[in-house]
Amino acid sequence: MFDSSNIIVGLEIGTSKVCAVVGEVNDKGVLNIVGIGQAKSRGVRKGEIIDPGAAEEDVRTAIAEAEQMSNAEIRSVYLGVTGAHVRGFNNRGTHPIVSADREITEEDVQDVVKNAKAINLPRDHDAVHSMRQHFLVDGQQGINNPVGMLGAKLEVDLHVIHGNLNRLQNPMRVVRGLQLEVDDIVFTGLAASLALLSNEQKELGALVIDMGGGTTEYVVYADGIVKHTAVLAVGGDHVSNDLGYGLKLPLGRAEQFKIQFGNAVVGSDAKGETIEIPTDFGLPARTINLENLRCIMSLRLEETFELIANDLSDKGLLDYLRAGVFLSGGGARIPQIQKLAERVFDLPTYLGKANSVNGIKSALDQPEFSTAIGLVKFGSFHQKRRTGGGLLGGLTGFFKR
Amino acid sequence: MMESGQNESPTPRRSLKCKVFGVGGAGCNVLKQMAPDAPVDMQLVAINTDTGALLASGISDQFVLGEKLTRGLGSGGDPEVGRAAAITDAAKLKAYCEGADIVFIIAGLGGGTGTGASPILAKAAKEAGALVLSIVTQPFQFEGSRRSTQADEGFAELKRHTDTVIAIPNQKIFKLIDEKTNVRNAFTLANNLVGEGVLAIHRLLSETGLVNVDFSDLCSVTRGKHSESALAVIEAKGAHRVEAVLEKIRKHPMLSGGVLEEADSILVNLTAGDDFTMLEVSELMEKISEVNKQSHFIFGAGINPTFDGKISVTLVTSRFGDVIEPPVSSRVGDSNGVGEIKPEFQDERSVPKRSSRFAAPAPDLTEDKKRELFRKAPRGRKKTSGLRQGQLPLETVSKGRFDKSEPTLYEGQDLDVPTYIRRNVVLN
Repeated sequence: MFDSSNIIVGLEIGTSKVCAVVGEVNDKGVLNIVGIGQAKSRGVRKGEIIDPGAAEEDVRTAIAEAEQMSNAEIRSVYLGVTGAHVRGFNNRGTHPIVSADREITEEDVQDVVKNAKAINLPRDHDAVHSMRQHFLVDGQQGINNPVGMLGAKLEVDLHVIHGNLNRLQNPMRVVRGLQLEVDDIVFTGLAASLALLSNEQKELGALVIDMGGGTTEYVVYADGIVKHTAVLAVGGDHVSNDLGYGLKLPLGRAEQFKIQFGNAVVGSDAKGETIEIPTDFGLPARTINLENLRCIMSLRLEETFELIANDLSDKGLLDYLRAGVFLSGGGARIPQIQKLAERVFDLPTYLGKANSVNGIKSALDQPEFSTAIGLVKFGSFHQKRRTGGGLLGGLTGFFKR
Repeated sequence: MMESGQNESPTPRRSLKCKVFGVGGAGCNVLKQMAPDAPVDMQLVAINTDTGALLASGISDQFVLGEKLTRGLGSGGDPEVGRAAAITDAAKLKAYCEGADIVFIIAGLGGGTGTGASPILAKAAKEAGALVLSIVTQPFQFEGSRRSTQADEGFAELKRHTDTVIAIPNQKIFKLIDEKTNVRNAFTLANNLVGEGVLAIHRLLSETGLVNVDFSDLCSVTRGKHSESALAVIEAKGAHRVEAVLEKIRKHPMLSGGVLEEADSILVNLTAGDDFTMLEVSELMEKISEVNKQSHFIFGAGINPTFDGKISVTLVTSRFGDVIEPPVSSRVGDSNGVGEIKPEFQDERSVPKRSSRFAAPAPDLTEDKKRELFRKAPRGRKKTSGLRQGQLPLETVSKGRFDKSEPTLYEGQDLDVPTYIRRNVVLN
């Protein structure tokens, strides 16, 4: 059995599946994925828990499977959170330098960060992350570490991700109900971007889109820092639902057809093609037009990308994305989704691979697992800091790129 | 169109006989104010239920309405009283209107006399063979909801009987005044807006322009489905008069709040002196039509030597609204004589009356009779369907799996509804 202090577990309670990934940090501090457990999720809709009982059962199944595979005992997890209520925005804090020599000290830095965190969040919202973007000294931009510089005014830009406190606590309660501790909660979009992007890509500027079952999270990195995060409560479930409605199929069948025949673009090969629905009881078979199926699907996916593209262009971020667009989550499995995203964003698009971690190769290649792997990665950063410097801890996770 | 009873001369434009009725307190005040500017061929008549107010208006031609009914003490803000007073004097009203080609009715809606009597006067005028044009003001917001409801009802009623109605919301004059303007000046201003409007429309109809606008043009803008009309008269002179006019149009309180931009039809009449250049015409029209490209435009221009050095622009705009047009069948024919007016009015009044809450006890019926009535019931209901709450013919889209979850709203759209439905993509 492993020494459980080296074990880091990421748990994602998603809309379509619950996934637990076990990572181990070896003596050299390298993270290695050693186990994965998953279960079909039944208690979650649009990324948020609607049935705690069912969710608890699914979490238990996933954790048990992960324990078995990794041969470790799981005591605490890094928990992914998402939902339509989660939002990100940028905030600036200011602090005057009052010392006689005008040299910026470590305390000044801590003060300015504290000021920047004192923000007016909506009532009953709480910050999930607040991430330092960069410092400004007397209005001079782009300073990474101001300690030791001279100046009269120190400012810092923070990216704050926040969500409704009660709704954030629902998954935590489920996990705690299983006698597991929550090391920290992490925004799933951020976790996915951690798993997918290398430091160079973050520096160049990249957009990570995590298309899950119930929600689509997206994160924009530029110049190595998080510029923008947001959640759209639209995901694979919506595609299935659209198909069910448009083709008059039961949801289960729609889901199956989506996986079997789905495509992100209509394509000329779908013209005139039909799918026969096998029926029981010898009823006459129904046929479905493949073109219609793909049309419904393509429109939904295109719209989702367009919403993201519009949001980014409003914020003037589209020009920063020099590394391109990275897709993850179950949505990245849709055939030709890459082509569609390339068309909408007019940027090179890649299917994200959790390259930055070692371990079970088959798991790392799956786009569905990138969020949970990212959670483990977040955990490894977090613990490194805790054991290394003990700088900051607590609920508001603070990590360096 | 209507034929005037007496005036059959081939050149009605020149000898256009025009009567302006000011009905109620507000109407009389407007008359009083516009009297000095009125052209000689314009006959002003003040009508009110309140003798005192009539005397104060100083109009020579005045007429106390329903003296027997109210003893000349006013209507107390009750349109029913105003209406009853007008009905008792309907014959006299009609006699007043005889011989006029155009009858202007000026009233302030929301009160008693203006609201109640104007429709009756309009009807009488129509029967006398005149074209009827009403310019009314709608009450200030602070006057309360009762008056505004009364005004709306009066407006609908008036619309039914006149050829065209232009309503001017009093509330808009707040944009013209500052905090120091006293009440008297504020009302003077409001009255002026109406008075100017009457004169401008009279000018528009009576003068033959280079590009002529006539009564039917005006009607096409304000009649039918159009419910909210606005009227603005703008004048400017000097070297930069075109720019000044455009600036005033932009700032005009009656045209503010997107009135011009959202209008469905616009009538523009330009009047100026002999020095009016074609360039000015084209520039003005271009700029005005730029504001609203999709509306129905009617353009007129005329030269009037008395306007030397200045330009006057009359704008009448209107927008399709949700005022329900009365069904054609309920439009009363114009052939009825004076004697028949009374019962007919009473008949009509009973139409918009709300049904009473009192429900009669079920009559004793045989089983057969009951069954027969029961079968008939749906047919009977169909007849009254015009009054029932309609349902838009929209397909209700089920949200399937997301039926009970929190809707995903994004810029006013519900993203849970399939994209292809929201984008109206037709599946083959």
